Amino acid sequence: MTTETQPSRNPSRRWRILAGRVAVLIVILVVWQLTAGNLIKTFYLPRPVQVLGELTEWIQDGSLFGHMLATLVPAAKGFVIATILALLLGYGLAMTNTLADILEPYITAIYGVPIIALVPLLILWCGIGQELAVAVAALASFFLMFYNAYFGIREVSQSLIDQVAIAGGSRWDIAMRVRLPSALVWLVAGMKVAVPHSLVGVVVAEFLTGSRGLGFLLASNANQFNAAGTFAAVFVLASISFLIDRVLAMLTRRPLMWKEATRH
Amino acid sequence: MSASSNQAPLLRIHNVAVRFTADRDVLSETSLTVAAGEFITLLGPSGCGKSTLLNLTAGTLKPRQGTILFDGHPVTALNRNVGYVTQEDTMLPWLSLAANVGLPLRMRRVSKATERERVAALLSAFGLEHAAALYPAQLSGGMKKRGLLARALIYEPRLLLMDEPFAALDAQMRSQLQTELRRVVRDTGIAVMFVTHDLEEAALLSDRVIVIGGSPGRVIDTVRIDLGADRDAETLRFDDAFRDIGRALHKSLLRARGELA
Repeated sequence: MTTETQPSRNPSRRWRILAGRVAVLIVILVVWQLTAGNLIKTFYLPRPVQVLGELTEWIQDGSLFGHMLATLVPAAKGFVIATILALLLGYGLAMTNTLADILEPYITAIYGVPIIALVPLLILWCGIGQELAVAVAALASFFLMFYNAYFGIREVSQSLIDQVAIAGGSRWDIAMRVRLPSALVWLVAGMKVAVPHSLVGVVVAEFLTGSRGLGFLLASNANQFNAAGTFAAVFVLASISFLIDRVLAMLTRRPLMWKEATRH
Repeated sequence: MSASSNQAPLLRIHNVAVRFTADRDVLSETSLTVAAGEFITLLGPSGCGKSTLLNLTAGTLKPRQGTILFDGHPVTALNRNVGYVTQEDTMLPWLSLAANVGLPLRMRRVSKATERERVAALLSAFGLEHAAALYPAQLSGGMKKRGLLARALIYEPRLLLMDEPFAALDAQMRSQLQTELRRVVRDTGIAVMFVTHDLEEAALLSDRVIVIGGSPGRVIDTVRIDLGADRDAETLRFDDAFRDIGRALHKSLLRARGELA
């Protein structure tokens, strides 16, 4: 089992890293503020204060929260649907080798298709409402979750399964007590990539068809040549994906504690 | 503590042959019995089919010919009346030691209270009380082995299958666990079929050693070890009878190897 360096173990190092991060932010903001309007026209590169102004305005009139909700809810729905389908299909295929071998080339081929190429088809099926956003989000995260579920369930050693079976385990026990926990480890690893993917899926859908959400906010500001508004929307998206990553790390710490255990 | 011979054996393996490839048997014309409460060891060079005999008994493997009777019934599916400990670490890494040890009882729908009680008793029998809440990744090799042994014993199987369980441990830990195993066997009266390629381990632990060898593998020799139930590994090493047994086993083992070449 790998041992990563743990910044939290060394408090002085933790503070240095935090200070470094703040310093990077300050340098970027200062250089940005000095460049915008001087070297580069604010039409292309707005000043940080302008971006902040847009953000404050969105927060004050309450529109930002609505757009965030309009993006996050379908992203979450899509992700949950994708995870359930991925677990079912992953389990089914991991348990039946022949079926997995038959379907493998098709799954690989579909996995390779860029999501955006499927959006016109999905518009045809789902219309341009929230269903579309959910469908694109589900599609965007499905394959990542599916592959993780499939390998997690398949890669359990046979001797482990035999031992649990001899010790009295039924097929159900082996599915729920051995294969599923093993798959969960892989799924949690997959979540870190798949959740941002479903968010991207929703933004793409909104970008193309939406009338609400962060993708729409981004597209409408860009269409009006409002650079400050576009920057502000990008900033919101970046903040959200950062927060999601941290929340996921916190949520998965407990179920993966046994993996951490080896470090103490 | 060998059971009387007129009693029906707990395990009877009769004239089995096993092959993994299309043209060659790994084991052929092999028969053996294990009486209730008897400790037998299968001794032989690696690759002679010792582990195969354990897998046949556990029902994870089917013979090409021959029969396996456990407690008078043919073994046709997985045999849940045995405990199985292998060389591998088969702890579930996401469960604590206590949860791992109690797992067979949970799967057998035994009440929570009974489980807690039996887990506590076994952990203390192996000196693992302090480690109950630890995860397998936090346990040493010897602690893991004790835990696996406890997990195999907790549902009180009548036969314990052990496939080179102590092979990966250092000498001191090994002899400690051998002593603990002898103690558990004496206290519970469980029968053991133990696989090793270590001559001294075989002589130290068993009531009877069955030497397997050749290609395909078969029974080369059976050596009875009449050293009694209470054995002290430390003094036994210098005992004349023990040395004679060692010499006899060594001779058989040479024959077993000779046929391999």
